[in-house]
Amino acid sequence: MFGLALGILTAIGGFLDIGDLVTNAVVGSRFGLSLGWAVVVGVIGICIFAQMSGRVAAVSGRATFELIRERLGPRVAILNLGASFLINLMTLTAEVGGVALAVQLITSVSYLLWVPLAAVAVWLVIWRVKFTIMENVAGLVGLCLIGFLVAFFLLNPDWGELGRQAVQRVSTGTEKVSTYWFYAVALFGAAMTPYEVFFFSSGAVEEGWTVKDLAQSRANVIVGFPLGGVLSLAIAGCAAVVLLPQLIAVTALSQVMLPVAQAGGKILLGLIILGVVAATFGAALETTLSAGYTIAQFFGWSWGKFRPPARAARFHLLMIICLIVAIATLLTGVDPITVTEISVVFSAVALPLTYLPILIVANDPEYLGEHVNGRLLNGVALFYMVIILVASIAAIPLLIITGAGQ
Amino acid sequence: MRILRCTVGLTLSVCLFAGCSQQAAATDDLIHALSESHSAIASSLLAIQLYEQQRSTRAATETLLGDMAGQIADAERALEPITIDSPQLQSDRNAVSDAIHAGATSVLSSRDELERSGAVDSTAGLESAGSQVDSLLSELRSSR
Repeated sequence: MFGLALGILTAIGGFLDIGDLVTNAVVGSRFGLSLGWAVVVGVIGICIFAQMSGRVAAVSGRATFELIRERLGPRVAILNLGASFLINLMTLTAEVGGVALAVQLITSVSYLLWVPLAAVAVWLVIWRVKFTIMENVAGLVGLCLIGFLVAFFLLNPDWGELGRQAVQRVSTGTEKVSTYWFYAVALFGAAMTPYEVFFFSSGAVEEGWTVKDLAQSRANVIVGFPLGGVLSLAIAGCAAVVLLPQLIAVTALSQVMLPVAQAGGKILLGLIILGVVAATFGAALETTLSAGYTIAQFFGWSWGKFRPPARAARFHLLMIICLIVAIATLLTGVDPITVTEISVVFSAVALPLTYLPILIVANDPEYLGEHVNGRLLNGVALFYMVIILVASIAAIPLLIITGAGQ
Repeated sequence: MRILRCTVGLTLSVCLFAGCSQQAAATDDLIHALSESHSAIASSLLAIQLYEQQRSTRAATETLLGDMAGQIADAERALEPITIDSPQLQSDRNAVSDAIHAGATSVLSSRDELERSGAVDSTAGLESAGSQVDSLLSELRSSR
């Protein structure tokens, strides 16, 4: 029971990352709650995706990329690996930038000075801290983000107006239809970031899940992720209540904090900033590990935190290189928020490459025996394949037409 | 002869259309820069107000003012590449540039004041720049 509660709590606390924080606040400030449906679609999608990949890992005892290469062959899988790895690296860069931006909110010292320190802290935790402690601490402290829900209620919103926003497209009057759809794809990409699935399935192997753990894994996903999605909606709601009426469009993490300060003052603000640090730091750990997992699993290298670093040297070296690339990118002065916005859109672009192989393996009795997808799940999963394809095809044209949502 | 006339007519129409759409695009760019500036000034005013009410921390307010100073400076820079092909557009751009510049100066001086003394004595400059930006914004939107 304790394990189940802990799993659900960490799933809620670990659900949000810099992509969710920024994209939901941007959307709330520009479109109110009229894109809330995109969050709901994304959360259902990630539940299906994570549930399938967790089951594949628990039953087969093998992680995502090992199976993708085996099932699709190395030539097709290398394309898959290249796209997933690059998007994961972009997300890692955004998360390290997110940690630095959150620390700047506490110290008012430029985020650029915090970038190398944040990356070193990520490396130290991966090097020294046990997998379960790392996962649980980041997830539990990330629960401070429930403060957004508290702030939303404290703001005493006009429920009728929010209901109206939820069922019809609203904007500040200058937003184009293409921008609305661009952000729909961005929200979908933010909710269905591929690294979450790599981490979830590889974590299952790290923690030695078996068929007996399937029920807990399902509960973590089906209860934890939707509650995380509620927090996403609360972020958008806070921005819709405070920022949209004043025509303030969110472009910086510091603006995301304005509704929180207005609703709950310094205490709530402090709690939320702590939650943002934990959520982005936790996501930075997950993306760094995911970078190592994808490459190591594909090439058959020794991988995992359950092995001493000396016995998985290439896995650890690769993660160090990825962190150095993230630091170097951020130190060029590129805006971490821009990196975040682009990374969530490219997540949507690459999603079919990881979703389809998992769907195929989840239907293969050779790997899963009696635990293959049922008819209902397959129906929903196929419907999502269509949504994912549409989002993937539309993402780049929308990015170009709207100038990345300008 | 008829073909020549048609070609000249078509070319002139295309030029006229291109000229109009270029002017509309320039006006859109000015409106975009003003909207960004409005957002930055309104955020700064709200942040200062929350800080004065003891609802926000000094570090969070300083960070926001720094971010907004950057945003408004970007909006100012975005005016440079706009192509000017009419006296009306030139006058609009000058007015927009002045308003945004006033906003940038006010945000920066508020941030400096907060960093120096831990308080922002007056937000009159920010409010005045905000009104200037808002009135130009509604003027340009109605002329579009």
